[in-house]
Amino acid sequence: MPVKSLQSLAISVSLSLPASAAAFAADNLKESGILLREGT
Amino acid sequence: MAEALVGVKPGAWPVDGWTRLTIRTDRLELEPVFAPKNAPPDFLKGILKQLTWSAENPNQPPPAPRPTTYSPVESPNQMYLRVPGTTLKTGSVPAYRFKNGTANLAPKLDYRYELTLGKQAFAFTVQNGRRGKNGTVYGAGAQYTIEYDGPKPDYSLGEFGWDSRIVAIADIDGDGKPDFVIYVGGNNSGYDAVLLSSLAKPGKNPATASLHATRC
Repeated sequence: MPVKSLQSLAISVSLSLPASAAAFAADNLKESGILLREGT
Repeated sequence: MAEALVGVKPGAWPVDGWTRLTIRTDRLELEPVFAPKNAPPDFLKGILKQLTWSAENPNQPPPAPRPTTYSPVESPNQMYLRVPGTTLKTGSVPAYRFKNGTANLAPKLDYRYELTLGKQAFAFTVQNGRRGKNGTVYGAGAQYTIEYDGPKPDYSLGEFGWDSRIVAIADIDGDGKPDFVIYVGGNNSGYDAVLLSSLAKPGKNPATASLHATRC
């Protein structure tokens, strides 16, 4: 399946976040709308 | 990248509650996405697989880089939307058709479009930059103002107002009011956004959901 180039950026951001920020981001998901698209 | 997923490890991405939006010329097809128990649905598996590959190959370009002419309007228009606490319609939902015969429009700046979707009259205006009390433009970025019964939400969406597009206008959330799927282009970047009327408040609003992309 094709890859979105941005997604490699996304994971590097995710892995470098401190635990508290990651926890906040995960908690934020409970209320946030999410939009995704498969790669083109 | 979906804004809400920035900073969330892929293993923590929600696997349930997704709706597939397929945008046609005159309608949207909304379909709940089946998710096996405690496992991601197929579409999400593919994306997570890509993320894993990218993490393991940080110095390699993706196998299929995005075309430099990327435009969501030109690519297969299928998206996946998840909005906690909001029930989205299912099935075929009529989209507003502009005079060009499609649901797509590159809106003129500073023009107030007065339209009707079903029995619901509504209007919207797209600007680049905000307006002071005397009408003076300041700042930059796409500004969407939508008018219908109830709140008159404003969306400050950044990027370039003159490079934004209406992808579709349809009642996605079933409240009888128009919801917007738009694309906002920027300098080597851009994003899709969904603006749901049922979550709109008077005044400034964030996009209900957005998906950012970078042209490489």
